[in-house]
Amino acid sequence: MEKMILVDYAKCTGCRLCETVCSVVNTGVCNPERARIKIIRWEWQGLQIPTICLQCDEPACLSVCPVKALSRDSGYGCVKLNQSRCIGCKLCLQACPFGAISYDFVKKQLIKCEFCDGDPACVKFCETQALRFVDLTDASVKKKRSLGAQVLMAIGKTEEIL
Amino acid sequence: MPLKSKIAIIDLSNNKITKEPIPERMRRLYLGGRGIGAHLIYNHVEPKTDPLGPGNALVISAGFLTGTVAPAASRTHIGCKSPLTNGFGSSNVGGFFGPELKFAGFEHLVIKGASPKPVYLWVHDGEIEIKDASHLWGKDTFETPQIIREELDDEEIKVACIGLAGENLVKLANFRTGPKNSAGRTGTGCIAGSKRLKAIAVRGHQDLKLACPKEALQYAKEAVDQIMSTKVAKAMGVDGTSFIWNVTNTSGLLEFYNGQVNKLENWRGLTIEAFEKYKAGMAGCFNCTVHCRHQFRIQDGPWAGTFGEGPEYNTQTSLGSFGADNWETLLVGWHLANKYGIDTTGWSNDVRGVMELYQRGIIDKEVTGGLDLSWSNANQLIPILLEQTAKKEGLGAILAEGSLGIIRELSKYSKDVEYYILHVKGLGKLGNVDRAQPSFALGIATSTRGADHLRSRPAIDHLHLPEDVLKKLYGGYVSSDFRSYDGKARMVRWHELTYAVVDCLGTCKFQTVFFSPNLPAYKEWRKYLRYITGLEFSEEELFDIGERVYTLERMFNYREAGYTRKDDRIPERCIREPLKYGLPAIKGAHIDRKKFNKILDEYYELHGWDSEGLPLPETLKRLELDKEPSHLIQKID
Amino acid sequence: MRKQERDNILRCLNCFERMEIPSKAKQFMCPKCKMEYYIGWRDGQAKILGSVDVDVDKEGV
Repeated sequence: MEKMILVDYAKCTGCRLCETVCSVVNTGVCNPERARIKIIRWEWQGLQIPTICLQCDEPACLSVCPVKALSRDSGYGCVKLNQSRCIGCKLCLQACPFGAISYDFVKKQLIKCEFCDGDPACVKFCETQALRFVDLTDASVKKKRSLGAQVLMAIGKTEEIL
Repeated sequence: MPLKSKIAIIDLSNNKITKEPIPERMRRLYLGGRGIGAHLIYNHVEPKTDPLGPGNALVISAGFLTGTVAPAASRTHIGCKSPLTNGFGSSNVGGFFGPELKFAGFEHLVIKGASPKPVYLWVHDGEIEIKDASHLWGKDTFETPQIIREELDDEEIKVACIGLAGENLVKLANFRTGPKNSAGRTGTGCIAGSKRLKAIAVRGHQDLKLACPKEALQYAKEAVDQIMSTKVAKAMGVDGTSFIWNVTNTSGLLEFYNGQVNKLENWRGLTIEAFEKYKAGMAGCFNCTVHCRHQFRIQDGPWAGTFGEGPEYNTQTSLGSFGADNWETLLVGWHLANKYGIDTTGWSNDVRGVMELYQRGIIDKEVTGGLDLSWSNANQLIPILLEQTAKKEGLGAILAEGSLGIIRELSKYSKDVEYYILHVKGLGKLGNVDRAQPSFALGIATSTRGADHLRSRPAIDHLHLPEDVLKKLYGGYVSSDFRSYDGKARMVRWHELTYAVVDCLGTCKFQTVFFSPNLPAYKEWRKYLRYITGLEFSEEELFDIGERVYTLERMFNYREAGYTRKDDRIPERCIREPLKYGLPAIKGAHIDRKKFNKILDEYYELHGWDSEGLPLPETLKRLELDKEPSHLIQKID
Repeated sequence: MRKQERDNILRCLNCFERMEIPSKAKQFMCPKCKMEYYIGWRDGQAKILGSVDVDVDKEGV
């Protein structure tokens, strides 16, 4: 069953706990710089945007890789990077329009989000549910429901949905 | 030792930088954060030095767990010899600065001497550079971080900086690390200004190794679930700490007009509900799931477009205590205090006092530089006086000297001036009533940094918890009733030491027994420490660390300013003037001098101090403080 | 869930007894001491907004 990490931008508080837990699960240490997710903050405008790999159906990274180190996993539908094949040319980092591939300077390898084997740590720890791990078939209606709740809040009808 | 963070000693007089590891022995005695910071301050500040001179040391101390996976492990402690109290200067700040400092490889920065010209520190991945800041001098705390980020071409750099107030040596100047995050109290910004240190810029890419990553992560989830199951975490996530305001205002536990009145008719304009139209969201500090930080935007009027973070309870009571009746005045005051880098609590306290002097005709327009300081002018006065204070112009020149300076300057007009400027040891207090709660009064009287509500405030005293719960928590009898004196000495001491431990760990004080007995404390911290650092501490050992740190701060106060029992006093107003209004439960409340002296005696005894409040020789020996000053870290090993 | 953590339980600020607030109530009187409060609701959690007819400063200083 294909899934996605659905981001609800309005709910992100910029706390970056997702970055810390991602780095612990994937590298064993606390180092947000080695996380696969990044919260971009414009603190003086009060904006914070989680940026993650969008697990494209036709990934730019996959198409430029000269050694076929990237492939689409049929299970959860995420794009996986085979480290033993990777030669570190960084073409994928350059090609991705979303900046989803980054470079781990400690292990000296390219890294990307691979859904933590189906149990994403970032989602588990996100208290506001700005990140949710949802079935692709449900994602759109969940997004619409989130938006609906915000519209109701804006027009003062929240009590009726509590 | 998983956490290999270092101490850096930076001598700005000689441009000399040395880096030292932190031995395990130091961890066992002082843990980290405020604890090691206290030890560094005690040893690096030259005894009896002028706070504004090169002999003072500014010590930045991230917590032991700051930057790790522990919940809300975001906090940093900043300390020095305070220009306001001449005693222990100490302030704690959240946000993202401390974690970045840890990722850069450092836990403590000891800044000594003074630079001949403005500089800023650039701390990055184990390296420290002293860079020219002459182009930053004069810039406010909003512009400075943005200029540095552009200059060093990295938007992820975290910056702690001072504003105009710090540059001008305003004694209430603070150190700021974000739109709102400030190390507010005791004038740490003033000390930075005296060293011509404009800012500290930090960027880190280094690992913080965990002893047991899998267990640490699992336990972090359990701890977060525990925290988020409490009512207070949910309330804070929506209303910030301003959720407290409705409670204290309803009871009649706020101070207005310098404590002359404790409840106003016109309260609806200042509730958090009335703030709703300015609210632009909630933000969180590093790794915090509670996200208690408001973001606001003023949409129309002369300040349209102003964005900031806030409000929170402290500043809401401080700036709201002049009788201002609308949020816009408070938000504008907030914005300006942050821009200039001024402590809102201490500043508001002093301005309230001066306004009462004007009200009583003790000072007139000649002293105020033509300003009409009537309470009804509060809305207009706040921005004017903030600017004057930052620039040390007009009345601001007097306000910039803090409580003791104001008393010194204005006592020539009346000997009663001292009565109306409320302070303890030279530090002003929060606009929250403490004369109805003996535990609160004892707390501000004995706090090692002066009249401060965060050293020991047992906010749970207001929860009226069952006495068997309190007995289990505090190890002895404590009354359920916040108006009682019984057992409150024990309660205050327990909270003092516990908050000292939290400040050593670097996790958020609000996520502990500050607000609820169900929030993390010693049992939970042992586990954080075990899984994250690999070090095993018993609950008693942690409690002893809290005691060691607190006693060391007290020793510093005695060494530098001669503070003893005579200075552990509360403002006379709290004793002489009963509360005028409010719910029947608190109306008429005031502190009873005899009963207060009795709990002060009990408090000293619990601490192992003599009747003057000085540690007994056996206490110093038990806490291994008899060898202080220990002259730098190597000796401890 | 612990009793005191339930979202509609508040403590009277005058006599400190627990009050169980009916859902969506806008005002509530403490059954023990008769102090009356304005009640607000936020995400299903009850809170005290203020008190009805209590001694306040009307004159200023």
